[in-house]
Amino acid sequence: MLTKEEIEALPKFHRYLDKDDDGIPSRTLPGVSPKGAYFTRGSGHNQYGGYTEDSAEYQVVMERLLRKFKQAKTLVPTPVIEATGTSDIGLVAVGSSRGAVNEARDILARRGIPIDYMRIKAFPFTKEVEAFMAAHDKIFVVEQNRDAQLQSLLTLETDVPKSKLHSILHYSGLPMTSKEIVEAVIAELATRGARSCRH
Amino acid sequence: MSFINKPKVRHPDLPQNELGLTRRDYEGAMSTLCAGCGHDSVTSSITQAIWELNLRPEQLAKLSGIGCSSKTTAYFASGAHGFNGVHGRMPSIAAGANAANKDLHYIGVSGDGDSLSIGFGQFAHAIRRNVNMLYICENNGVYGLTKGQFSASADIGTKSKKGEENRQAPVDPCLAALSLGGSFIARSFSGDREQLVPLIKAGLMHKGFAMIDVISPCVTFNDHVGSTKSYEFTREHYHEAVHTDYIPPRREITASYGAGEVLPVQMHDGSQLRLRKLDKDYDPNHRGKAFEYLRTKLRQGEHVTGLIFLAPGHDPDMHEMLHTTDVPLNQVPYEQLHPGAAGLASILKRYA
Repeated sequence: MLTKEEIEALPKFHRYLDKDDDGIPSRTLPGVSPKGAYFTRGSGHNQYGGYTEDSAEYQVVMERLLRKFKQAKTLVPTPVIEATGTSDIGLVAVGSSRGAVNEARDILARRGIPIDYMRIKAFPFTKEVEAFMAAHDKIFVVEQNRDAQLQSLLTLETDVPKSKLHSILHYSGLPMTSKEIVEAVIAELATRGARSCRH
Repeated sequence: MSFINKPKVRHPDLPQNELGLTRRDYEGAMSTLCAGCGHDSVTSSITQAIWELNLRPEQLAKLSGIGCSSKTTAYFASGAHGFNGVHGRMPSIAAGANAANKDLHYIGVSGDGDSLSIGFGQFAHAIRRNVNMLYICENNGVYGLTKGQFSASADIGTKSKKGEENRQAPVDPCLAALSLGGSFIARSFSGDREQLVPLIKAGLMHKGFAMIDVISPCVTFNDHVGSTKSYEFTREHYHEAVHTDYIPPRREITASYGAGEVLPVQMHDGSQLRLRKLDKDYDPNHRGKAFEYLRTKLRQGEHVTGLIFLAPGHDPDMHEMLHTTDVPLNQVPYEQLHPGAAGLASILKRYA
């Protein structure tokens, strides 16, 4: 965000011009300086904010957005990690199931199953997300949709092997409860136990 | 789409306003609308009004949706931020921007398609919220950008370019605004600059939602015989009920009026409106009577113009109703606006 002095010092302000190559151009607020004014248009624009139908100019803007997305990985909020330090079981979720997850972790810990918890706060995923995925052998992905959208993103965007992940999905139309998480975790760990007994 | 840049050359003797700016300083990009489009005349009147009001261009925020009308925000005040939003959603963007910074002057330009069809809900609720803004509806009765289908403001019996007659009842933006509680409701004609410029100035200075419905003929798709929104028809069926003069603060009042014919209205910024009733039976401060008058004239095929209704007294605007801070919200420190999880926990403790 440019201040009045910074805007005035520029020869000309261009809203979408990536001057420092981080993909994130400077922004101005209305009411500060007529030199900082720009028009957010409903049609395609070039890197100077002008109207364009030129493919090459458009591509420059698209590639700048890609750089911005990559840069965002270093700037978005990092996940909140609550680790026991002893568990090789992880649980990944976003904030909407936080209450149910906290309660489930308490119940499971009392039953002798401590679980590490990572609450993801932003996308694209930061390096902390990658590290948590690498540090656990079994990871439960808790989410409130039918299609395992968070798990799909994790498999696409991180190096985690699919075999590590186990989905706990909730899509009944009502809020999730801790009971579902506890039961799903116990059932999955029991299958794994049974499998390893057979071998 | 073709583009030519406006030449930067200007006459050295161009008159300047109190800020030392010429009218050229309030212009925008070159219009790409059809030659003779009413919208370009509206643009010219807006430019004139903000120049005369001595507003710094950056004090203005220009908002629009989609349509020929919505292109016009690019054609004035290039020194002001502009936002071309989603079809019919300009009022939400205006309300959001106004919520963040109430110190700017907001001018939204929309059309009959953007306001009365896809954005009718948005239009209605911006009036109810009394968002402090000037809302201009450039009304031509057709969808110009999609080649001339009837819009929701097309009158019964009006004919399309191909000769088809409209059978559906029109939505009149002024009647709608009256019924929704609008506090400043005006209608004008793109071809009547003398009437439109003072209305734009008054609308911008009005604290609350000010709506001006501007009949702005579409030269390409709705300017033929049989259309009720052509230049010719509008000129012939034009009925000015109230003429408005805008007198800026500190300006000596020189115009002379006959006793009883002028209604002075004090604006919050110290300026004054002088409403001159051209029809002696008309009362622009009475919502019910204004509604009846407008409806009667509409049935007779007359376009009533002028400041149709101005609410007596002051209706609280969005910020006054919400009891927001005196400092615009975008200037309140982030920590104060967003106390975080700890702040939320301490609030919740009160209910434990």
